[in-house]
Amino acid sequence: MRQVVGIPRGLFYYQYYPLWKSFFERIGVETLVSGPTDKGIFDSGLRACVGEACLPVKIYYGHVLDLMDRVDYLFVPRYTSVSRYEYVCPKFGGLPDMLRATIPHLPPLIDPEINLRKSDRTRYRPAEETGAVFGIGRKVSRMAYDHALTAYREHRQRQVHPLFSGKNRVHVDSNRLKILLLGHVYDVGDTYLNMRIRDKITSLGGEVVTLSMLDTRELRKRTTALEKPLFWYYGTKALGCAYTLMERPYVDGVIYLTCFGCGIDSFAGYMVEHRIRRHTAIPFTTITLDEHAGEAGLNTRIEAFMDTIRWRTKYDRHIPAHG
Amino acid sequence: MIATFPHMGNTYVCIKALLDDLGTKYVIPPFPNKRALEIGTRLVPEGACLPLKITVGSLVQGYESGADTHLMLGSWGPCRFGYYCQMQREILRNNGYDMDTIILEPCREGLGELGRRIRRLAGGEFPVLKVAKALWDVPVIAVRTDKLERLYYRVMAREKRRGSAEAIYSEFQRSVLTTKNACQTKRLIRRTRKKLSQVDIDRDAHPLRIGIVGEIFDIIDPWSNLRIQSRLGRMGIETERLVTVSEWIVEKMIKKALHIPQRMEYARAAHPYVKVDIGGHTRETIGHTVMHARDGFDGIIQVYPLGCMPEIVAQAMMPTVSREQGIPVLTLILDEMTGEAGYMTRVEAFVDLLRQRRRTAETETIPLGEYA
Repeated sequence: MRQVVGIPRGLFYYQYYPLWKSFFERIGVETLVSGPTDKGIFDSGLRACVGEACLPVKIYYGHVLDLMDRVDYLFVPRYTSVSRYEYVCPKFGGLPDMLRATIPHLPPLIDPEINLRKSDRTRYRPAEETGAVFGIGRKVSRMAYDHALTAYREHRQRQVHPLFSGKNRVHVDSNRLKILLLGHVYDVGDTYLNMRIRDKITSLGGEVVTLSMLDTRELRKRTTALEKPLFWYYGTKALGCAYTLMERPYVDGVIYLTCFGCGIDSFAGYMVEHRIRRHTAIPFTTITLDEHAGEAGLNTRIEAFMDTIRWRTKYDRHIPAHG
Repeated sequence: MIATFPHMGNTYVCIKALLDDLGTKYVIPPFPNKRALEIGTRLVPEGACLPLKITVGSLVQGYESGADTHLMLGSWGPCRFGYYCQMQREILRNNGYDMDTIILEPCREGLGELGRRIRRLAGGEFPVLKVAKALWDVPVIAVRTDKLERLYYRVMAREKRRGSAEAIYSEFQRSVLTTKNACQTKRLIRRTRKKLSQVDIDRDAHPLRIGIVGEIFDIIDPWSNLRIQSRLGRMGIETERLVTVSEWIVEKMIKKALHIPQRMEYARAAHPYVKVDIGGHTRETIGHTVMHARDGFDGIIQVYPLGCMPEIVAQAMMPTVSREQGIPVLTLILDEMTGEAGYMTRVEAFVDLLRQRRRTAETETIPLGEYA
């Protein structure tokens, strides 16, 4: 019988799915991804998860519950750190433990630790551990991982917006307002969670730019201006974005999308907001989502934000509206 | 330069001794109070955790008393605490509190940078012997203060005349502020310990024992957890808290920096539930719960500030730990809106449950499942 590995569609799925998909394809293991978030997944996640956790974690629970009866294994890597000197959120590191402690009758979890904080010499370890579950040798796993990494890099390269790739400046439709949608990849990526915010912005004549369209390495270079570097992968990227905007305000507005209770956003959001408000003339707004957020309220806020930008470019003659 | 630093439980005792011996001018802000929290809540982003709000409020009060330099510890994550120093610096600057910042942390630039920061603190000089002596005294005083505190909570639960231990201890907390150097502080600790051990106690008492676990700031700082340990003590309940300042300084800072193996009892105890260190005090919270259960404690109270990332992970595991280890757990979450009455009602109800449970256990054994 063929064994199926379930990949929950949540959290870092939105960043690393191409990598793991191609890895599992290469080692010949079948994978199954849970369906896009819907009301059923959302509600079951809310019920199963501890109330204090943030919305993306609760939704992840929903995806696990959705998958668990249909697969032989669940792939829940323990993301401790994906970049040198930086961590991701502590909840990511404790995710497999949280799942095991709260959901009874889970299929076996494949939870290799991904920790590149000290050096990237450990980069093959998760692949080797995962391969070993299926009786695949270390060498084969390594090769498969290398292959997957190439595929992932190509995928990331394709995402980079032509405006920021540096080489060929493509003409961008100037009638559309460019809106930078700052937020964790799983907040921006999950259309049920963010209530299709990207479509809303587009339908109001905006063009959405997200963090994954920017070159992480470029962003990282800018953060050297900080007195003490941030030690969160996401925080560094968001701050890098703020510093880039201070140098070259290439967008017409910034929307900071966050989920209630996000610890990293509470710090990074403050620092980004302060820099953009104090040192640039770009309009900025923060949208906080939780399980009680209503769509009407979100629509109103986005419409108002877009109107403000438009009126400003129309009547304000580019004089900043504030001091 | 006049330095100030935020309060966190009894840390001021050892930091004060350090600054005294380095010859730094400083002001100690008033003990955490309602106004500090109000200032903090106004200046700090609302999603940030409670300790940041209290410490920023504390620092502003320090500024108002004339300080111009802010002294803080730092670390490198993933818990938000490691970034407090920078957040405090930015928040103070953005709101017009013009203060310098000295961060004591394992600097990425190496030990030299840390040395330079200590030199700034010592007023531009670096007399090696004096600095070494002053630094050496920090863990020594921290360990002794924590031992004293532990004794205080033990005596309190057993004293015959209510309030005698508390009087001695609060006298100590006040008179520490008037000592002139580390030596006097040590002498004061010694004297207080003697006084405490002379308190008339009921030697046959068999008080309820509750373990306090959770986020380090909130369980160490009595003001932010509404003095839960003293309140329980007044009810004649013994509390034990394994997370202490000295443990943090000795284990997490000194031993880590010198690559000496740390005490990993708690990690072994937590291993069935938490496999690796995910930051913050998750592993300590789970590990200490298991250790307390093995030591025959009656219950556990977990305390943490709203939104604390590592403690949420621990809380998610608590029901399983509680069931498997057979120990009741109460989780209390604090923020700036916490009301005393509601909080104490829950604590009292929990205590009633523990008393009932003990009474029942003396006659028959009932699996915890019925209470959990």
